[in-house]
Amino acid sequence: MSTLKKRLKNLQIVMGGSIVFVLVIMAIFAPLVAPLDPLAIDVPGRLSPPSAYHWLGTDALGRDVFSRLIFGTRISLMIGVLASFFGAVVGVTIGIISGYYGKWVDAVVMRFCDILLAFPGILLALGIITILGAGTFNTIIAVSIFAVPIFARIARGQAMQVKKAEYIDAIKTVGASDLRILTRHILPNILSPITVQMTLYVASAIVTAASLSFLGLGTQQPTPEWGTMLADGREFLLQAPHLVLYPGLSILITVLGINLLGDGLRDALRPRGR
Amino acid sequence: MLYFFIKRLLQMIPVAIGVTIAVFLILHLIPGDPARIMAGEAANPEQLEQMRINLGLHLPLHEQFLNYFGNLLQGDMGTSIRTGRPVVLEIFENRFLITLQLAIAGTSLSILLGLIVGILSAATKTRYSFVEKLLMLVSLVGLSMPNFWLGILLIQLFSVRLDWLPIIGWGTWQQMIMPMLTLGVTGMAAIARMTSNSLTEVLAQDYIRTAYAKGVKSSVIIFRHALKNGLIPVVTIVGLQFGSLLGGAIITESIFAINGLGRLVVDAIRAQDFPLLQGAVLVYALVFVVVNFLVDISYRLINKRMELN
Repeated sequence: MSTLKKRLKNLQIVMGGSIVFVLVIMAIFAPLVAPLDPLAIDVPGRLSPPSAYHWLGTDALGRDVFSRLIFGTRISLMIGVLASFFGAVVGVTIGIISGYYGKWVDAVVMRFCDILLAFPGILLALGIITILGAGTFNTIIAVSIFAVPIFARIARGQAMQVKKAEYIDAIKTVGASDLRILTRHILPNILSPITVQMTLYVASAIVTAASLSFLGLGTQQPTPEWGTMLADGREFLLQAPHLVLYPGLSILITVLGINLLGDGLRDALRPRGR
Repeated sequence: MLYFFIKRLLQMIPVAIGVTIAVFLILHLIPGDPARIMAGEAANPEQLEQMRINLGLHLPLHEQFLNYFGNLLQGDMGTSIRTGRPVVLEIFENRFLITLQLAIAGTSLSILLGLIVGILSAATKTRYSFVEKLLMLVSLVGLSMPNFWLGILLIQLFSVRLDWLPIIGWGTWQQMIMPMLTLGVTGMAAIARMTSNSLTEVLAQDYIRTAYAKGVKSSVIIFRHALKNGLIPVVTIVGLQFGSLLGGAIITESIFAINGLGRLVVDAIRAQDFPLLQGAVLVYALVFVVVNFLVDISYRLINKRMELN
């Protein structure tokens, strides 16, 4: 039973990993993969259904949907990965400091996290967009800020545990500095739960970013972005249902792939004998 | 228990104040002059000055905050720039109730579906593991589904193709079905996964094995013996889901043109109506804080009962 379970988990990692791999390749080599220019307007050929030339049809301006989706992979993955990365760097830094030093530092940091967590993620992102204005880069910042308390809490909990270990006392006695203990001994110990969380956060960052674009407050036209494409396609549900079908499917497949990978990694990296 | 209740209640206060400060600061972090943005480009210097005084921007920052906070305590959230009506009325006249209904309806549906899928998957895990795998894959797909896409697909099917349900609005049961589904499916997935994991762990315990050995029927074991213990972690996730559904309502209300609090937030951002935005964001966050408090309390209550038993 346990070997079967292990195999299924591996299968999950392989499936999720393959999806993610293909997407990353598509994003990097978008100009080579995309058959047409994603920005080329062709008004007479607008809203045409999928055909041999336009594999997934054209949008309201006659732009090739398939090519736009391929280029959209770039935007979505970039936002997801960068938001997760920035959120993790800031969150882990304040988390391990808070967990390691404890006392008032910890109290202040944790109340700060409580306040950030008091806002639903999308609302916090919307608030930040209000301050910074819409756009791809601002979306990254808006989405990464919500990640800060999530990573800070995980890092803090782990740091508090590791801090109590005997070997930390041992290196303290031989005179290691706090910085050295934090970066060389505590950080490596908490990397695996952080990696899992980073993977899973990429998925939710992609959805939040697409939601912002869907509301017209994220990435702006004419940049091909999945959420924006979906929002624009809403007007043409009757004439051109392909305009909402494929961008949504792209988000679903991407997020599913990342979730499969993250989920699988979580179980694979979990300490044995749970 | 009383001690815990009071301690938790007191913990809520600094968070609520912090949230209020954060919301207050929105107005001051915007680049440029908020009075200029709200009065419009065409405003003359007198109008601009009047706007500044209306917003209290001529005072030092700490006085502005104290005024803002004092007004809040008296139930005054300022005046909407766009409509000229008090923000409190804009929010609480009917929008707040609509969003609350939407979130409760969505949460109820997600609990119902989540429990069914979760229990089925835990029950089939040992003997029909392919059913369990399938159910968990379905819930992972649900978890990965962007809710704005789901909403549009539902509209495409039930309104555009079949013409069964109205596309927009909120009030009649026909209008409620699609928004409820849109919100509920994502929540369903999380609850199903949690239920299944927790129930599987409980089912592996000794007292369950004893019950099986005594020849108790599977259904009785699951519903009478296992579910009681298995549902404890589910309570937490239900609370979290309610919070995230409140967030999800922002999108859902935009898709179905429902005049709730979420749509108010988006409209206020678009119209740069900052007093309205501040009010709506504050109410959202405070509801969220209270929900988290209630989840903690109920979790504690259930756990306590288990300990006593």
